[in-house]
Amino acid sequence: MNQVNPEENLTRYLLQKSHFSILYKRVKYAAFMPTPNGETSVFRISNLSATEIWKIGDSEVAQKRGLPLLGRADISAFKVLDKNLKVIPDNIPPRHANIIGWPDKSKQKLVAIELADNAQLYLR
Amino acid sequence: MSVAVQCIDCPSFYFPLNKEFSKSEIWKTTVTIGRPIDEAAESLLELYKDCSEPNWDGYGANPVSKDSISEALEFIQLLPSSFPIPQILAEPSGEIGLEWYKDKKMIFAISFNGNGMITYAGIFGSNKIHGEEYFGDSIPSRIIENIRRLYP
Repeated sequence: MNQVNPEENLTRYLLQKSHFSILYKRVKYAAFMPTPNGETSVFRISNLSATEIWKIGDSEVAQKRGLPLLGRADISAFKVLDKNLKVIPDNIPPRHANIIGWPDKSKQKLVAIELADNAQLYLR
Repeated sequence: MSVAVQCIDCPSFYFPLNKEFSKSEIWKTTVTIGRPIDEAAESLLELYKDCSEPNWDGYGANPVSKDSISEALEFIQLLPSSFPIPQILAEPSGEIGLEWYKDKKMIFAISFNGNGMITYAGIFGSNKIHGEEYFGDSIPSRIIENIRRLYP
C-alpha cells in the first residue's frame, strides 16, 4: 500500500486494560504513546468491515503476541498528521504502519492525550 | 477494619521491605479496605503484576519499575483529600501514569519514571500545557495548581 492519506482511518489494537476506560468508554493517552524505539504501531482500516478489522487484530497482533485482544482505538489519519506526526506504512504485516516523529517527552504526552481524545474506542 | 495489602504474585512488594522502597517505606503501612487510596494501592500492585516484564503491551514496552510504582503511590498518599484519586495506567516507557479526566477538554496527566521526575501534560479548554517537575518530599505546586484547574 502507498503513502497514508489524511482521509484514511487507522486503528491501534489494545492489549492492555489500563489503556482504556470501560466506564467512560474512552481511550487513554497511554494507548497511543510510542514504544521506546519511538514508534506507535497501527493498522490501516479504510474500506474494511468490522469483522475484517477484528480479524487482523486477532491474527496479526493478539495471537502473535500471545495476549488477548481487548479492544481497538480508531482514529483518522488526519488527526495524527495534524499533530506533526508521520504515518509510515511498512506492510509487514499487510496494512501495518508506524506513527513516528514523536516530540520530546512531555510534549509527547500532550500529543498522546490529543490523539486519545480524537479516537473512538471499540471493545471486543 | 485495618488489614495488610500484599501482592500474592510479587511478595517482595510487601515484606521484606528492600532498599528500593526505603524512600518512603510506603509498602510497610497497613491500610483500610474500601478507602480510595487503598484501592489505588491495589491498582498499582495489579499493574506491577501485569507490566513488570518487558513487552507487557505486546509492542515492546519497557517493564514498569518498582521505583516508579513507589513514587506513584507516594504521590497519591500526599494528594490532598479534596482531589479525586486519578486513573492509574502504565506507559510503554515503563513509567506509571496518573490521569484526571473530567471531559474531552479537561484532562491532566502525570507520570513517574522512578528517578524523582514527574512528566506532566494537560488540556484545559483551549489551553495546553506540558513540562517536567522534580518530585521531592512534597507535590510540586505546579502540579497541584493544574489538578485544581480541573477540581476548583
